[in-house]
Amino acid sequence: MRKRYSERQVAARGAEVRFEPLPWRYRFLVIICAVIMAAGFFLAARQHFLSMELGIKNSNLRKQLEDLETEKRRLLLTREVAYSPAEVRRAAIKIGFFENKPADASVSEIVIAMKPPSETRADIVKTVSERPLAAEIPRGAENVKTNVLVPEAMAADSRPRRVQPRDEKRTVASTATTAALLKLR
Amino acid sequence: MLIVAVLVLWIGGIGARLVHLQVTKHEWLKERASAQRLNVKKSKLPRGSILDRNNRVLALSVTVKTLFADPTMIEDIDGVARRLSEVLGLDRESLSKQLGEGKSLERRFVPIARGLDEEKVQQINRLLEDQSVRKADLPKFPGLHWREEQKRSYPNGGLASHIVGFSDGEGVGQAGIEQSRNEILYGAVVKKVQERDRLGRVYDETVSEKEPPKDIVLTIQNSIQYKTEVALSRAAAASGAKAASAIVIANKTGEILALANYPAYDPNEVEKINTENLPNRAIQGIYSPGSVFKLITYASALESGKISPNGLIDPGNGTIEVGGHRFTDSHNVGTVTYAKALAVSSNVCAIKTGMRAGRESFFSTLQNFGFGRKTGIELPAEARGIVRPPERWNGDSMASMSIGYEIGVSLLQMATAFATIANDGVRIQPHIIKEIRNSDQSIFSISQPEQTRVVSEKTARDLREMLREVVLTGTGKMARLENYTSAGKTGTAWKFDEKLKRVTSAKYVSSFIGFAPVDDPEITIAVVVDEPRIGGRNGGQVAAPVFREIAEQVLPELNVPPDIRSEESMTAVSEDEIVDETIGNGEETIPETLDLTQGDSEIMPPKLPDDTRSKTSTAETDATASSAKPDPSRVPDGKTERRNKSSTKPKDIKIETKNRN
Repeated sequence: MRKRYSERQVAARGAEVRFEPLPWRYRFLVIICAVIMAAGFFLAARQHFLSMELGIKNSNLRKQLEDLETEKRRLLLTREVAYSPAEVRRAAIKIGFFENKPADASVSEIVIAMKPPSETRADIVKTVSERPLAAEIPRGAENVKTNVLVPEAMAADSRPRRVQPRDEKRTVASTATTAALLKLR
Repeated sequence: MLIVAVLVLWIGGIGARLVHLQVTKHEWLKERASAQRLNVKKSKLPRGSILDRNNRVLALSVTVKTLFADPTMIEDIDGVARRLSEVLGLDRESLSKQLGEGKSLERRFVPIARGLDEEKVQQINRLLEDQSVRKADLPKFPGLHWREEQKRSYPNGGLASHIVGFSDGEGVGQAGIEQSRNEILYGAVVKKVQERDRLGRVYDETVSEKEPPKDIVLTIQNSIQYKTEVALSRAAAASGAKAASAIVIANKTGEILALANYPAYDPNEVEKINTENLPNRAIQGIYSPGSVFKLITYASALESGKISPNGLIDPGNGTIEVGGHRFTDSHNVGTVTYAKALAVSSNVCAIKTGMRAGRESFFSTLQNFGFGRKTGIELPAEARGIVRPPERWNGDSMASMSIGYEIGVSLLQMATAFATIANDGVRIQPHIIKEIRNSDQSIFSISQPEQTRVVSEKTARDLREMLREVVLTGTGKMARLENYTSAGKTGTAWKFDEKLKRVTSAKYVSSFIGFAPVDDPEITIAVVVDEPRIGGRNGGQVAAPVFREIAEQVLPELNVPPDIRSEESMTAVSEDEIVDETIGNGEETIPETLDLTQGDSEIMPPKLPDDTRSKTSTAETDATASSAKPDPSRVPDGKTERRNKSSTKPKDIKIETKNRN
C-alpha cells in the first residue's frame, strides 16, 4: 500500500512526491453508488406519486360507483313508476283501450232489482259475466292482468248481455266463448 | 473571518427558524396541514327498500341534491343573488335578504334549492360555472355547494299505502311497514375522512363501518293489491259508503296477498294527507261482525259434536226470547237443516245452536280462533278486539254473541277465522313480510308463521259445505263465481250511533267473507263496507259482489284451475231469489254495548254467573238450551232493565278505531 501525502507533508519532506489519482475502479464504484442512490430516490418519488395517482383514481372510481348506484336507483324508480298499475292503465286508455267495469253493472242492476214491485221490473236482473278476449298486454306490464281492458273494436261484444232464466240451458256459443277465455288464461 | 461570521450567523438563523417551526409551532402547523388535507364528509346510507313478492318496488330512496350557500364565503351578496335568480328563477330580493342575514349571523348553510335530480344539477352547474373561480367542488361559483340528501319515493302512488306507510324527512317511518320495521330500514350516518392534495383531489379515504340497511320483501302482490283496491273503491263509491276494507289471504301459507282500505292516501304527498284516512281500518277498525260470526257459533257446535250439518232445527215462529230480550228473524224459515239455517242466516237458529254448544265451548272456540288477541301481523297499532270473558256476560250475551253482537273484531281476525276453515281447521298466523334481505340481496331472514289446529278436519269440511250452501241457496248468491266454486258468509250489522246513543237501523256495516274454490280453497277474501247509503245494504248485495270481482281476477292470476261443476255454474239471480238477511240483532230495546272506543280487550273483575233461560214459542227438536233463572230486574210492565254492575254505557261501535300505539 502506498502512503499518500498531503501537500504540506510533501513540502515538508521537500521531496518530489507524485500524486496518483484514484484508481478507475474506485471511481466507477462511487459513480455506481451515486447512480443507485439517485435511482432509488427517483423510484421512491415515482412510487410516491404513483400511489397518490392510484389513490386519486381509486377515489374517482368509488365516486363513479356511487354515482352509478344513484343513477341505478333513479332508473329503477322511473321504471317502477312506468310499470305501476295506474300508469299502465293510463297508457292503455291513451292508446285506445277502455275499461270493463263488471262491478258497476252488478251494483246498478241490484238497485234496479230493489225497486218496488209496482214499477216495471225486468225479468232478468243480473248478467252472466263474460269477458271478451283479453287484449295484448303492453310489454313490461307482465304483472298486471289487463284482461278487463278491451280494444274499441271489440267494444260491441263486451256490452252486458241479457241472461237466460235459470231453467234455460246455456247456449253452445257462450260455452265456447268461456272455453276460449279459459284457454287464454 | 467576517465572511465566516456572516455564514455562521446566517446558518444559525436558519437553524433557529427551523427549530421554531418544527418544534414550537409543530402542533399548529400540523393542524393546519390536516385541515387543508383532510375533509370529513358525513353521508347517510340509503334507506332500505320495500318490495312486493315479485320484487316490484313499493318504496325506494333516491339521492337528490340540495344547493346551499355559505354566506361567509361570499363577498358580493347582491351579485350572487342576482346570478342565482337568473339561473334558478327565484326572487332576487328575498335571496339577497336570506344571504345577507346568513352572513351577518355567520351561518354556513343557507338552502337555495332542494331535492334536485342529477339532470337538473348538471344543468345548474353548467349555468353557474365561473372559470375564474378555483374550487375543489362544484358548482364553480363562490360560496355555493351541493349537499346530497335522500328522498323517499313510492312509485305506485297510493297503492298499498296503508301497508307500506311513509317516512318523514329525517328518514324515520311514520306508518305501516316504514314505521314497524324502521330499525331494519333505517340508513345509518357514515363518516368519510378524505385526504386531498393541493388541487382538492381525494387520494385516500377512510369510511367508518356501519351496518347497511336491509330490504323488506312483502307477501303482497302488486297486481292483486291493485285489483282489490279498484274493486273496493268502485263498490264503496257506488254504494256511497263511508269507508271499506278488503283482505286477500293465501290459505295454505297465511300470506296476505292484498290488504286494501278505502279511502286511502298517497304517501308521496304527505302534506296533503287527510289524517282521517291514515288509520289502517282492516286491522285497527273494530266492529260488530253480525252474521259472519255465526261461523264461530256453528263451528263450536260442530266441534263439540252437538250438531251435524244435516240435523234439523226448528226456529219456531222465528222468535226467541233470551234474558228478557227478544230476537227475531226477518222471516220464519221453518224446520230446516243446520246448513240451511246458516245459509239463510237465521238468527233464532244461530242462537239456539250457540246455546246448544254451551257457553264454555263457545268461548273456548272463539278464543282458539284468535278473537280477543292480536294476530301478530307486522303492522303497527293492530287492535286486539273486544271479547268479554264469560264471567262478565249478561243474560242475553250468549245469544247476542251467537249472532255477532256484544263482540268487537277486526276484519283481519274475521278473515283469519275463515282462512282457518279453508285450511282444514289449521290456523296459520297471518303475516305480511315474506323475507328480509341484506344489501347484497342475500336472505337475512324468512317469515315462519306459527300454525295451530283449531277445529278438526271434519268440522272444517262440514263448515265449508255449509258455507257453500250460503252462496248457492242463501244470502250470498252474489258471491257465485263463473268458473270456480265459492263459499262464504254474509253479514249485515247495525251500527251504534253516537248522537242517538243507541244502535240504529239507519247505519250498517255490510260484509262478506268467503273463500274459493271450495274443495281446496286457495284464497280467502274478506270485504267490509262501512255505512253503505245507496242501493242495497245487505252484505250479500254490497260486499258479495266485491268478493266476486276480486276472486274472478285473482284466481286465474294465481293459476288456480277452474273447478266449477256444470250444474252449479253461475246463473242469473232473479229478484225473487235474493234472500233477505236478518239485519241487526232483532232487538227493539237498547242492548248493552261494549266500550269499543278502547280497542282492546277489557280485563275487568269477574262477575257472578248469570244463568239464562231461553223461551221459545214451540218445542225444540234438538236438545234443550241451558236453563236459566228469571231475570230479577224484570219489571211488571214487561220492559226489561239490565242489571249491570260493571255499567258499561253504550258507546260508539264504529269501524274506525282509536290508535293504540
